[in-house]
Amino acid sequence: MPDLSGFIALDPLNVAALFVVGFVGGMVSGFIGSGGAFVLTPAMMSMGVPGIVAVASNICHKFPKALVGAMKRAKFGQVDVKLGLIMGASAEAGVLIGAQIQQNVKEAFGDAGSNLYVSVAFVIVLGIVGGFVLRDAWRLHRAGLTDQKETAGKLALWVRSLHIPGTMVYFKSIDARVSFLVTIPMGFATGLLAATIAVGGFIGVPSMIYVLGVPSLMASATELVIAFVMGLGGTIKFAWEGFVDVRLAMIILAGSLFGIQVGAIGTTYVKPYMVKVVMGAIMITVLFSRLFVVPVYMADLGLIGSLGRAAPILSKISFAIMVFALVLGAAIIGYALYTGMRDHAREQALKAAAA
Amino acid sequence: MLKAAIRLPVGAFKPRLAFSGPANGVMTKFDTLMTAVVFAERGEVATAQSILSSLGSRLTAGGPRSLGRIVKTAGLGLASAALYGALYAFERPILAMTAEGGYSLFLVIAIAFAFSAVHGAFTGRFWDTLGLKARK
Repeated sequence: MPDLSGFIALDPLNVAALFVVGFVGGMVSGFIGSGGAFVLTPAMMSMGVPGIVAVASNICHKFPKALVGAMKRAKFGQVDVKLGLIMGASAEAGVLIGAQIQQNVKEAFGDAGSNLYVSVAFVIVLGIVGGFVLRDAWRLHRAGLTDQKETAGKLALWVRSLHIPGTMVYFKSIDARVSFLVTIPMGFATGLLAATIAVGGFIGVPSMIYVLGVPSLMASATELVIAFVMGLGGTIKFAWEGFVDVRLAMIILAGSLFGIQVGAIGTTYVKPYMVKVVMGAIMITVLFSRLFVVPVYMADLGLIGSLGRAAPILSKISFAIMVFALVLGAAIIGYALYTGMRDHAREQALKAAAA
Repeated sequence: MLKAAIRLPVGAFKPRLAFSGPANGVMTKFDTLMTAVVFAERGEVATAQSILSSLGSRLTAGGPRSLGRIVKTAGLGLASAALYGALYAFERPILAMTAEGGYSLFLVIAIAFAFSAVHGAFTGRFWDTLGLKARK
């Protein structure tokens, strides 16, 4: 009989919480195209799920969900399948190596070590990526460029100017040819991060936007193809080791498949810069949620002295901020969808009256 | 005053929806029914029937809220509920099997795909039936 102590008991409250968490995570995922797991993984850890099991279970439900999201957004013309598959190949290598590192940390330092490793990775990645994305969205908003079509930055233009014979590939999302060699480090880093925090899109999506000059909406949709490829490979690796809690994965899936379609439809009603606003705001909030609980993990490992009564307080603060992040994500996307649909309805009514 | 003001040829009434949302759909249906009642009270039975038949045609044609589609959506919902019921009933044996790792990974992948296919089809039709559509 295998050791089941690393798997949480599921009571009605946990099941309901996981469903709601899944719904909001799915909505965020469908809207920004990546990173539904950046609320899901910490939320599951806040419920007591060990880091590696949270990552493994999120990867497991993510790949079929990514397939659904990609197919939905492909209907809106937002997916560059070729780019997704080419980056997916190098991402797969990253996933396998990242998963092995996860396993080594778990074997050497136990659940506390796994939790600390995943949480520190979250704090670093969310801080860097969230800051960049919010700064970018703020600049667009200040300059009044929210309705303008996005254009490639200097880095992307330089990358497109590179010509390496025999490696050039045309990508419809940028309407240009670039060397596929450029996509290898992008894909590998995406896979490595996915196996660490179950979110590869934090590198995948910004790298497509800033390195290749892919428009935000297409980058977020194309990442779903990469997520499917990585998710399938990651699931095989983690499930082979017995780290996937298929109960958690399927309950999260139940909620997220409702949410992802709402998020995907929402993208058709909002201005492109809103994707960056949502991504950045939620990232920074989740960062603080994980930051508060890092000292608790460090104390568990004996890296710092005992925190005494402060430990449960810090855990509760972390959980509360996590709940706020979920509510914030749902509120921003819901409001953007509502106002977008209302304005569209008014336009249609005016057109009908004029006809 | 309303009855005197309204004079339409038979079959001319065609309710038009600017936005296909759930609240708008209910209000339009109510409005249509009340309009039909007004014509019926004036004795213009043919016009009232034409209005009611346009309402009825929306219920039976193959649109997002046709009866056939609603039944299919409900069927998928039941299938999805059955899958989750089975997962709940066999929770411990499934967890014990997958925690061992190894070739149980195929069980994990099969479960993931089965639930995604059935539940994904249900949730897609669910929002469509409620009238939540992408902006074209």
